[in-house]
Amino acid sequence: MKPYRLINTLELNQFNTNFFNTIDYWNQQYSLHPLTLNVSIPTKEFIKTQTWFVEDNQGQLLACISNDVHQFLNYSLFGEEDSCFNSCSEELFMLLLSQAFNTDFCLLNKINKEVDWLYPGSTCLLVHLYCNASSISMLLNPDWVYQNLPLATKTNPGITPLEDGLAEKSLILSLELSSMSIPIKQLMDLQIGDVIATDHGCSRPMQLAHKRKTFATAELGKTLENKSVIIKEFV
Amino acid sequence: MNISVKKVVLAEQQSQIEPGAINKNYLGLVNNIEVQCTVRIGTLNLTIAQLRELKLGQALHLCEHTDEPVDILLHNKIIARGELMSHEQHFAVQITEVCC
Repeated sequence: MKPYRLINTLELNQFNTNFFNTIDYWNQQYSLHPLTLNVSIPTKEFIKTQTWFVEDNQGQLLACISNDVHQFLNYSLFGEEDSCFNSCSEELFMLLLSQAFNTDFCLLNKINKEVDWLYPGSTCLLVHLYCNASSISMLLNPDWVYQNLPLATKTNPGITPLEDGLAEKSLILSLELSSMSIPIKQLMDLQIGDVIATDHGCSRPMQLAHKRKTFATAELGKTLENKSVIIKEFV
Repeated sequence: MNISVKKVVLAEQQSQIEPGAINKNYLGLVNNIEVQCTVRIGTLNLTIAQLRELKLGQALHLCEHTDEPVDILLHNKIIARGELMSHEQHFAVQITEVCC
């Protein structure tokens, strides 16, 4: 089962702000050329180009990133795209991501796999990181996004107990004698004036039932012109 | 002693409806069977909210007047009506209406 959750503009802005604050602090600490970012709802084509996966310390996938991540980071941090900076850039980038994803530890892994994160109603988000003219894209795992959506501020009306929801439902109840076995022959020959004797004693309460299910016994009487009963026992 | 036997081969069958039906007295075939009948004295309408509030000793009005007949039900269908009577300390029903 996957969550189906539409993300509204306010929620998107909230993610934008959170990521911006984290990156801003990181820029001040480490960047030669500061990063900027934009968080948006992704379109389908982005999924094809992601090869680097960000995992947390429990191996949960948090995001996937486009394959030119090291060059991009090297330029931002050291002003050079040389691969000798890769290891250090990656380490500093993991500091940024662990803060952004609010986890103790992040790991960048190159995995050849496809993720099924983009589907109708997915909470997947796309983060574009910019540095001068270059950029990388990072898809956020919809599960992580879903768990980190801002808490609802609107108070919904209370939920009605089932009993109250059913309160106005009308039931037709029957007052019956105990059922009796009669041969079909007797029923076939039944005529006006015949008497069917029952096993139900006159002093015994009758059964109050709904669809053959007895829920109380009751004593027959009358109130004004109508038959009436008094509840004797609940079954 | 040798007994020669042959397999029984069943012929293929298809319905070929012709005029003629089962004897009208077909229920006579099953007239010894006993069926469960119920005598319904009357009915009442309650909402689930009212049902929830029911108390022991509470009086409830039925929909039927005191002079209305009781129903004899077979599988939830009324097959006869009658007047509620007593017979040797037990209830009895004297039939006033049956299906023709």
